[in-house]
Amino acid sequence: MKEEFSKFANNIRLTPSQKDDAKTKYNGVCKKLHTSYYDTSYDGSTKFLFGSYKTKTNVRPITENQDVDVLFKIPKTTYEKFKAYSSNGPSALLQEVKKILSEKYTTTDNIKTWGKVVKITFADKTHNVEVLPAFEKEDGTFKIPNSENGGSWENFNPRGQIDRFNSSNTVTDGLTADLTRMIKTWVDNTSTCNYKSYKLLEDVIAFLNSNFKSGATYSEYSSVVKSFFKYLSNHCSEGLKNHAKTAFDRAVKAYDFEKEDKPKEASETWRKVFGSEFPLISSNPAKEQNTRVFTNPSLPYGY
Amino acid sequence: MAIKTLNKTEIELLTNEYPKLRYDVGKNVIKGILPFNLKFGPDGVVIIDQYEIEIDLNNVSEFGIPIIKETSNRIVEIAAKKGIPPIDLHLNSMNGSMCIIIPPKAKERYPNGFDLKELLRHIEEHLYWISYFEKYNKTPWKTYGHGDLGYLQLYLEDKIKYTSDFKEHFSCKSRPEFRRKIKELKKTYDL
Repeated sequence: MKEEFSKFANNIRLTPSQKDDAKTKYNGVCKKLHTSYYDTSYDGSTKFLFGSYKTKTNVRPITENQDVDVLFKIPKTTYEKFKAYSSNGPSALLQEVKKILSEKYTTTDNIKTWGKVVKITFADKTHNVEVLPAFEKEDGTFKIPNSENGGSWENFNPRGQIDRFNSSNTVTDGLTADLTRMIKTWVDNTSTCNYKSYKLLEDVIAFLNSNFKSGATYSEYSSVVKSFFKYLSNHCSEGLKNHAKTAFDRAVKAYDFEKEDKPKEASETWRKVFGSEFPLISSNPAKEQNTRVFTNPSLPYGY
Repeated sequence: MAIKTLNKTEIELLTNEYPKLRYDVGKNVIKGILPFNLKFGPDGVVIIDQYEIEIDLNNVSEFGIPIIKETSNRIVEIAAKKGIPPIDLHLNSMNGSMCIIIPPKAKERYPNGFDLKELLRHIEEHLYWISYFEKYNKTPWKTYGHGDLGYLQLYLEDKIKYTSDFKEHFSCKSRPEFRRKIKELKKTYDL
């Protein structure tokens, strides 16, 4: 299934125009905030992208649930001003950010604040931006506002997972990103499957730390996916277990079809796992050879 | 080690019967996928499987066996999955090539030296052995032990037939030396 996995991996990657669209949107949000909070011109340094848009593990087709996660670095004076509030400074900061963004995103776009973020839902419902106003500490971690339960300031370190991802993705020659996207596609194709992106990425990294350590070719992807589902079945929460086991059983079936030279059945079975982005093979090749019976094999040796 | 290049008939054999294998003339290697559909004995298990292999024709032994490697790392992964060293699945510990036959037996299977058709059938059967072990956790037929043990087992299998091979392998120049070696190995391997 080398060709099919290669096509599939490509089918679920964002297109250049989708990437550009996302970039325009999150830069637009951060530029507006930068102009309000700083006297300097915007050069992107007050923006910190994290999550799947940072690791480029977001998948097609784009849905309105796929948000761009971005931190906007607020000045120290702003952080100290809101931190000094006697009641819910975090909420006041989020409201201020919302107000600033409302000056730019007026009629058709929707802006809401909740919890720790301000979310801008665009008219086309794609690449909606969740912006976290955050104060960057000297150690590179952030203080972020949480407006719930009276308000608090939380520590946040998105760089940790990004570093782990980059390290794994380099060692596995891109397999970490490919496998993450494939598993996200499985999640999207599996109703009632609640598997958070953050946990999914951690699981993929941990799995590849002990399996396929140096990456894999497309011809090995069926084996990679099958092994991952087995790993997941043994390492996931109860709520995910049945989904993972069903996926593993299907992956084993697809893998066996492939080995039996039945790519049509293999592709149909992979579609049950991944949905219609997985290429469908319409017919099997003519049998190359019938079963050969042999009776006097040579004994393997070793040295 | 000798260099063997494929002739027209051998290239046609690949094209017609093994279309997933390609002969790289420049590198003088055969590379690609070797599918098989085999049954060991009339009542045996049918296994349909395939492996990615590379046959290096620049290194062909005096008995006609080239260096053969499984290139997708599957055998190593099977060994890891089963918790055994790759050498137990007959991978050469020095270069990772497949140890498909003990040299004296190669003389019997390849009486005229290199024979591509026979070699590919041989590799298929060897890979059947691997796939069978992967699936059933047992071997479909026995194997020779590693290194010196294999030669002792071969000698014990047919003392008349394999005496000269044994002597040659251990460089035994006299009969007493030969007898001492047998005794020493039997003691070492408790046979």
